[in-house]
Amino acid sequence: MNRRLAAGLLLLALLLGLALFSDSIAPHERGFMKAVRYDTVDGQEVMLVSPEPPSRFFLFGSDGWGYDLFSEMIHGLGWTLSIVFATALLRSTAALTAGLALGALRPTGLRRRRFSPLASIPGFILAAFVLYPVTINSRLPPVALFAVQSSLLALVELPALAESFAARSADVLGRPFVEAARTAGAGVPWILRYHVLPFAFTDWLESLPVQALSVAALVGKLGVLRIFVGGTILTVDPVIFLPAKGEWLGLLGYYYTGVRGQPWLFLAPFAGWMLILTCVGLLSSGTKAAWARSRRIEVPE
Amino acid sequence: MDSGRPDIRVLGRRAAAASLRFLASSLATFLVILFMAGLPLLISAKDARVEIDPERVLAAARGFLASALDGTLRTFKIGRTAWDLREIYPKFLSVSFLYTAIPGAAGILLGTVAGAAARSRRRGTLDRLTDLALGTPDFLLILAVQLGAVWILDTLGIDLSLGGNSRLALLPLSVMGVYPFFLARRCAAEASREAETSDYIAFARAKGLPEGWILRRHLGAAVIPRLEAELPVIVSFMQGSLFITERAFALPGMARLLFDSAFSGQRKHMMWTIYQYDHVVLSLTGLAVSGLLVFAALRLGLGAARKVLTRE
Repeated sequence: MNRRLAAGLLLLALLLGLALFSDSIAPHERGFMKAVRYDTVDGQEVMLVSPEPPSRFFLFGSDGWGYDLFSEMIHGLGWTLSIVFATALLRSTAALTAGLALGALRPTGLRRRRFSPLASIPGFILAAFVLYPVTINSRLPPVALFAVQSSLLALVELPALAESFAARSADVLGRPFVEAARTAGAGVPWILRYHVLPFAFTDWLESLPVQALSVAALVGKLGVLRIFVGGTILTVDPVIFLPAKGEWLGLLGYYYTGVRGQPWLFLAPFAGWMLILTCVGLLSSGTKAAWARSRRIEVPE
Repeated sequence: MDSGRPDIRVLGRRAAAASLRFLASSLATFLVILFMAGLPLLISAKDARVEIDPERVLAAARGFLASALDGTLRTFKIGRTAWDLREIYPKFLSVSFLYTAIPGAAGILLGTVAGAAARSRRRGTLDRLTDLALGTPDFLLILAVQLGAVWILDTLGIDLSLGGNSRLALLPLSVMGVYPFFLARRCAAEASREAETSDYIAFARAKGLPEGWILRRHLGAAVIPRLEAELPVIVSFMQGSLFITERAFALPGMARLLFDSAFSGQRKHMMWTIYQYDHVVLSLTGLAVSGLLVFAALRLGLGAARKVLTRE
């Protein structure tokens, strides 16, 4: 095992450990809030009102309603890991399958990239339109809601990725060794399995961190629209859209208005996201190096 | 005898066919928009089940077409405040267009110059910075720029929101220009480095042609075609960033109108918002029109630059 893969697995294990034992690690239960509290400062009792900057009581600070950001983030980590990894995996795998099929069906004459006015309408808007009715005060079981959200996010940028896998497959299918295999009587499934897939697999590994990033951007933008992974709780008096599960990227979008007065609300989930991104990058490059080594291919650092 | 002039009837037929194609694709785009706008009405989650009701979408689309035809589609409401769409729609459209076209053009121009300047250098820190910028989610970049501006304002007392009250503010323009700048830089650097090692550049140098002339020619012949190929991606990406930029910097554009129509528009009672299907259709159409205009403007600009540089 190479160092990058080992570091990535270690970081993933750490994050999974935090997610699995969130109830024991988090100082407060999910949904804990304290808008006003009393503390002793320099021997005097003072009243502290939310939002509070990071302190011993609120490790990452609190928001305007008094929610403890550290506890919310610890409870939401599982949702963040699930949505980022599951959706990136789902999208990349679906795109690889579709790309192989497309490449085999039309090995030449891939369409030139053209501009469509519909491309001016961002994919996350369509995702928001579909998710809004099922996410706000959702009555779906959490797992079912997660499955709907993850599947839809996987679909959003699937065509472009599938097209790039199709181009790769078409490129490999046009090479002399494939022609030789075809002349020797190899069928399409055999050629795809033994000649195209090994090349496409490396691309698939490379696509994972890129897709994780893309999913993260989508989830963050949906958070700006108050559509959170795991559901949104809408209260009417006053009107508040609350993230039901404390998913990190949703928190980034949710707290972006706090950038001006309470930067900790933005910086804590941002730092958390950088940690996950590092983990994805290490796992991807480490797996790629291990795969190349097993096939005795030289891969530059 | 062939006079060398194109046949007027052939030109007429081509123009008619192109117009028909344009009308057909516009109609198809509009029908897709009518459907897209109906997505929140199509799906609902009741009693722990996802339900799909196409009749609601059809009714909303019929209502939109009826109100568009009888002229009642004129007001946009948030709470009890109403705006005349005939006044605000062109203004919102122009804001969206300007905040995409200006930073798009400036970003591509500056990025091309920066990329071409790196033609004789190996990949280095600037290339890694370019990769990092292109790999950062745009909404994080926008929010980080806001955070940085606030920090500079608080710490140094320098107001970066130059022209914040004017029609075009510097900060959102800069944020929108980041992606086209770095993408153009990467394209230009790659194309320039490839061209730098090519035989025709070596031949031009051997002939003793001036460096300025060589640079102009290879910018026109090698770099701009690559930028033209990447233009759909640049415009699509900028349209996505536009939504967050308009929201984060409170700009009155089409994306903002879309947000207000869909998520915080007319209120039935004090709390509950109503999804304004008609205005969502209008704002989606506005976004599509704005994107198309930006693409056309940038494409024309690149084409003109190519002609000027190569003199072909």
